[in-house]
Amino acid sequence: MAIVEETIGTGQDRTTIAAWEAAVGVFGTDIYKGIISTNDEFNENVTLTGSTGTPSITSYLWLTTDPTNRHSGVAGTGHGRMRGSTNGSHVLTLDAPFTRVDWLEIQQDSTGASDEAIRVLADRDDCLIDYCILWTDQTVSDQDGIHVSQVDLANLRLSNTIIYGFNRAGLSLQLFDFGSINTHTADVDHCAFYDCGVTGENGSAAILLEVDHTSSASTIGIYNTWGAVIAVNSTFVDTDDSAQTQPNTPQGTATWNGSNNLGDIADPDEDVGGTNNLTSWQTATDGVAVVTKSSGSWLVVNSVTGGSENFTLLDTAAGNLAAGNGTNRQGSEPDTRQDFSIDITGSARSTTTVDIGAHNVNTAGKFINSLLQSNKNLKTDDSRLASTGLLSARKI
Amino acid sequence: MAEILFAAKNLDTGYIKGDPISVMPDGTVWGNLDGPNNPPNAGGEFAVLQIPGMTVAKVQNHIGELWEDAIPGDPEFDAPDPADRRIRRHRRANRLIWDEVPAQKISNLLTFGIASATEAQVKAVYRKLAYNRTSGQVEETTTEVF
Repeated sequence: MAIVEETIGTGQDRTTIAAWEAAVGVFGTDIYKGIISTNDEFNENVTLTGSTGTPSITSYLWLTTDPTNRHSGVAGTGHGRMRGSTNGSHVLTLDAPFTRVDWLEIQQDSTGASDEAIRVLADRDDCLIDYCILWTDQTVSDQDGIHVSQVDLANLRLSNTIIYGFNRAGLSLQLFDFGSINTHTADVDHCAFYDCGVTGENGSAAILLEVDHTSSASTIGIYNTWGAVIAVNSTFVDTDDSAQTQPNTPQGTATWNGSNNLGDIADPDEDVGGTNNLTSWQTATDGVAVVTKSSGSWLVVNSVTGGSENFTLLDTAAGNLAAGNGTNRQGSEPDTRQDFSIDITGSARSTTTVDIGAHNVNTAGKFINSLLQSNKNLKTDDSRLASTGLLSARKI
Repeated sequence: MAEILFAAKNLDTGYIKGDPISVMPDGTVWGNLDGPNNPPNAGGEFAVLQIPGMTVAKVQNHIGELWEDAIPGDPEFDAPDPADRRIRRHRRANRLIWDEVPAQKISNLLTFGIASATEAQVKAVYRKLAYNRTSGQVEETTTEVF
């Protein structure tokens, strides 16, 4: 097994992601690793199909970003990133089993319904999405962060990833009743979902686990994830297409397990799955050390302001529910290619005090929060912080 | 001005000579393994066609894949979701018809990995592809893309 590496970007081996993918060799013995090695924005829509031969755990496509050009856990510019703006197209389509995508920011910027950040095609089992940021600021119906349709799919792995802003779902696993029997299996570890799903959108949820056929089954394990509100066997049935037969009665088998997630289960159709979960936080509001509060418990992130989202977890004087309430999964990674020993910023993750989400809790936030609380005249918006010189410190 | 990266050879990934890969703006610094920096005659896979006057946006929407609606008899016709009742026939829906490109242009593309052409010249040889159910082959048509 060899890893065949090619760099991608202006002045690199390949100019575009599509050019890298088009030139990879046959599957069999090699891993084909495309490394985004500039701070370019790649305005592309790419299908990762690969070549002839059979993909396997030792021979697959791997799209990643060089450590010097990676995001730092926050979307924006100044690092290599993908943005799709062509209507009718997903930014990335995974069309080969075992495909691996990591350390990549992907923005879906099209206004086309059902245009996803990532779509996974039928039987492309064992794909891994790790250390990514998937987001949109479009408000388009039926858009998902990651979408799997009415097809068979096994072992979709999603870890250390932040997904936000999608009108329908962050992760959409759909098994509507169209008369066929299908199964999905997936794992979600150390992820964060925010602002996915809007009122009135069919199938709206952070994670949609939809099973409407009596013999279909969907199984998902979710650990250490915040915002992990799941719509299970929901009544959010897509009734837009009158040609389809879609009973409103959920059927089949939906199984969700895992532990140490953080979410809101105010809606009886929703759950965060598994055991040992923290379910007391409410809809987030805005601000620097924000957050959500219920009974004195907080999920504290840096910013949920539209356009400057920063989901770094802060440690505040009041405490952060995500701090230390996770469970150690190092050594239990579902995919041998995963490594839960670092967070989305590359910081080491404790095995004994495990935080929930893609980020470790940033203890620097405790200092900032202390300053904010001690100065009642100091506003918490970015402009005021910038004027006081605290902005850069806040983003440590 | 747009610069289009084309496959200059048939590739294991399914691309056929003349299939567009990517479109980039004028002045793009092409990769070390792409087009002018690794011409087909030197072992490279791709060549660049520069088209003064044609915008990137105009080309961008014509880089997609060739999909076809399934009909009765196709396995995809019975796909559970109507949205899946389509078949991807080829990695691209359009192609630069290699055999109709003037010989001198082809020579430049193969030797130098780059050539330029007017929009009208490209329009005449950049055509839509179609799937022939009888032959089971993807075929080049006479339908111009632009």
